[in-house]
Amino acid sequence: MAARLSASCALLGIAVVLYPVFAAPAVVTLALAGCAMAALALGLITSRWLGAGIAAGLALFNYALALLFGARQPDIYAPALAVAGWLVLELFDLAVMARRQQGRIDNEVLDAQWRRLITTSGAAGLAAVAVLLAGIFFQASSALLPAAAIAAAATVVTGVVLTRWAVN
Amino acid sequence: MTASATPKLVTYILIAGLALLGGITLGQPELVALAAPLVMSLVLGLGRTHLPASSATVETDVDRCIEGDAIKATVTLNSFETPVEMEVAMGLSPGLFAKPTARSFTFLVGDGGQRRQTMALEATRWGVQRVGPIALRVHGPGRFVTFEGVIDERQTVKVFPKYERLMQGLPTAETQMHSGDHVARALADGIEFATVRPFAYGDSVRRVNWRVSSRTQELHVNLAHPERNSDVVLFLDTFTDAALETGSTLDIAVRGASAVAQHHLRHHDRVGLVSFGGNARWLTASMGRSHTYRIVEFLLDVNATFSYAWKDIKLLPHGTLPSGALVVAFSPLIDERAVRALADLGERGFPVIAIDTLSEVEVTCGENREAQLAYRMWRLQRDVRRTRLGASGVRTYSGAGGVHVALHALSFLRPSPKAAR
Repeated sequence: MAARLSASCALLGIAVVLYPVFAAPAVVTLALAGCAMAALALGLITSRWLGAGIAAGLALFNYALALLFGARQPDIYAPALAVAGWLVLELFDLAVMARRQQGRIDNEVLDAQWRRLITTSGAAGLAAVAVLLAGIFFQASSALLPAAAIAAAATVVTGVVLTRWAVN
Repeated sequence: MTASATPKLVTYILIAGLALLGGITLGQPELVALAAPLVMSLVLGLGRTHLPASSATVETDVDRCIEGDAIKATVTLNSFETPVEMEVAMGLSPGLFAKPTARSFTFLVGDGGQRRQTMALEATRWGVQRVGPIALRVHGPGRFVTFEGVIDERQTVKVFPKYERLMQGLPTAETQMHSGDHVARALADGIEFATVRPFAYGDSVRRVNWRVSSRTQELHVNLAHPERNSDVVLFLDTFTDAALETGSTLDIAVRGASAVAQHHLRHHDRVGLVSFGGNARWLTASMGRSHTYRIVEFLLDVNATFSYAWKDIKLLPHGTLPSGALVVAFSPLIDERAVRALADLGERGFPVIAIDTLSEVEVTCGENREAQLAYRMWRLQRDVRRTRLGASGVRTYSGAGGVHVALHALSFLRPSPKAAR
């Protein structure tokens, strides 16, 4: 179980980390992607969140660089990337849980986790799309900051309501 | 229960904060979109997290068993709120064994539901063993917050030593007045034929030996040895407990004492116990099934207690050592007080058999010269102690190699030249 979860996390993590490299090919982005992959692998081997955190931070920085230097504006794949990035972290959490727990894990626990992942990822995707659209719409105007904040709050509230409804 | 933030929560907050900050300062809505799932997940998880109201109990299928027996411990968990992921781990005494995979488990409990989980345990060592406490770790929704706590719920299981069978009982020194399985040397009513003597006034006609009487033309009667019981006092030296490869010296002593006591009680002898150590305890000699249980309960509480106080057999109350009782001592012959007490018993006329529970061959000697010298001196010192015991009339046997060897040595003992009466 732990090996399968780790492998899934690693594969999805590679895809997420390499996305900025394809969006804006450069030596810097490639180097950063390599570092992020190494950090993620280290985190999976040692079952420590520090590795995953560093990998996520590096991937975020890499994506910001890719957005600033050369990627298409706006990036319509950003919501998918957001959901994929979140899934990598959740899979990492499950892999760590499966590896650290020496005893038996009830199937019901894993089923509940999978249900939560599927339902939340759908809502999270919608929230990310809403945030992106709101951001693009208000980007030209001076009211970007308050609009982005309102959109973020609205997205979160919608996501919470939707997911609660889906889970219960 | 103590709540603590998980590393996942810290990572999510940091990454989401960085993404939001970067998105707004750089004017990139894509970065804000990247933070959206993380923020939503955080709000969703933390919004539903609260201190769990749960309880746990543990019960075992038996409250007493024998070493090597399988025990089933059932943990019952109740949760009165929304379903939570609960990780349960069981604390066990060193004398109980459970596979690591069977010792802890994770499952969902909630909505007033109840979950029962059975753990397979094995009693590996005699003594009063405890199942519990129960350690609980409850993960909040999203596993952002963890509640940890220990429920002081314990169940006691008394594990009796595995029964070691003696091939034959110990030689009796003096038989007592109660009827038992030992043939006394005295002449009285009994089954075992002893001799024939001329009829005397008061003899029963049923005891007349007609063959001898007709041959000698004078009435003769048969005499017999009566079947009597004997008194055995088990003396356990509990000043020290040395751990060896074949088991600790106290372990050997308890197993050996248990075997000797059960053998003699089965043969209608009276058995007493003395635990002579930092904490001296005793059990006056008695017989019967109830006394078997008293002895076993006594042995379960035997442990080595360190003490500087000088102790001798005057400490024991009158009646603990009945006159003519055979004293079987289990001692590693380490503590001078125990050795002196045994010598004292021998000098007072008690027949004493001492089983040396410390295997000298298992004590390794150091490499350097000083260590070798110290080892030789230690061996010599032990030889001196054995010689001193011998001079006091105490017969010492080596129990090196474990309880089996000690009991085997006891089984082949012959009665001492001192005639039993």
